[in-house]
Amino acid sequence: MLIVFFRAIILYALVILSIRLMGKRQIGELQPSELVITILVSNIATLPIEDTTIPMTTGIIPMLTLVSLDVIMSTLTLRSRKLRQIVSGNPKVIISNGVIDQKQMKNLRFSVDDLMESLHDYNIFDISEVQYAIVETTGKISVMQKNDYRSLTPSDIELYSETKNPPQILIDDGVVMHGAIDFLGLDMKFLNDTLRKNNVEVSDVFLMSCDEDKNYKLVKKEDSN
Amino acid sequence: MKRLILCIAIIVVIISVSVFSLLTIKNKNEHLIETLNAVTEYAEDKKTDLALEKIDEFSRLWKKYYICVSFLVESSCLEDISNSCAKLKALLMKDSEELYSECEAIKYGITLIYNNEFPYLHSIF
Repeated sequence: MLIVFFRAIILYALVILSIRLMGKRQIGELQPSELVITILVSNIATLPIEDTTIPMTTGIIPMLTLVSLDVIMSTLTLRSRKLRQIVSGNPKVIISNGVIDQKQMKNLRFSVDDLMESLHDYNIFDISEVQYAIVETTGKISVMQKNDYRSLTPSDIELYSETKNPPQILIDDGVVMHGAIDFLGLDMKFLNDTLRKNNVEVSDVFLMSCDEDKNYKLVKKEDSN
Repeated sequence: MKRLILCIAIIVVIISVSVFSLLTIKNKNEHLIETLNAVTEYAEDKKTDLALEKIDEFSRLWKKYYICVSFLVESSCLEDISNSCAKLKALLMKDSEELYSECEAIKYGITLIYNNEFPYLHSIF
């Protein structure tokens, strides 16, 4: 029993390490090769946990090998477009100038229902609103609406404004986020002055966010009020 | 880039450890088989004391080898050899013909461990 327990702990840590090693891209949308690796890793990890007669190495080695190969492969595909096309395929246009490419949809084995479902995600319920749609290598459909149906943007009415980065969290549950202070080009003096002005210590702050214009929002911890 | 280097390092370590473990298994197998051959030779020559010594030596070697090889091989394969190993002394004392067949079974099992680890084309596919 304890063997299974310890094996589960080790393999849990190893699976997390593997997924981290594969990078953030893995957590979002999966490329075909990443999907294969994810399925394989999860299957391989269960074998040595369930069967104690199997050595741990038969789980660890293939897992690390697959993840390492995936990282090496993704680096190579970054450098070679041809290899990228072989491994991940090409995006396919299924609607161009409002016309559905039925042949392409057949090739991709996409039904009208699949297409409509994806359009609904973009709040499009009438196919005549679509100018262009493309199936990405991940299988996700990206859609561009015709200009007449697009939401109005500030640039459409020539309303130009300066684009700014979103506010950053400077204090998270009593802990100063030095990275965010650097990102905003602020310093500890600004933070200390602000806290003094509000009569609080860092440890009393539940949340403090601030933008580049030094507009801040401070939420005190409930028990410190 | 750091991630790539780490992954290349992992692959290199895996290959190195695999080759090293294969060589270790090969060397230890040879030593174990030599000891077993000595057991059968002494038993045939009725040199029971010397055969007993060799069986003890084999048992010691096997215990060390078991720990080392259990990281690589399914324990069920190793347990069969351990069971045969435990019978050797009794069979020698009984002067049984079965001693030779048990020794052969152990030798076969040990050889099988190496053969199953070596990446022969038929093993891979």
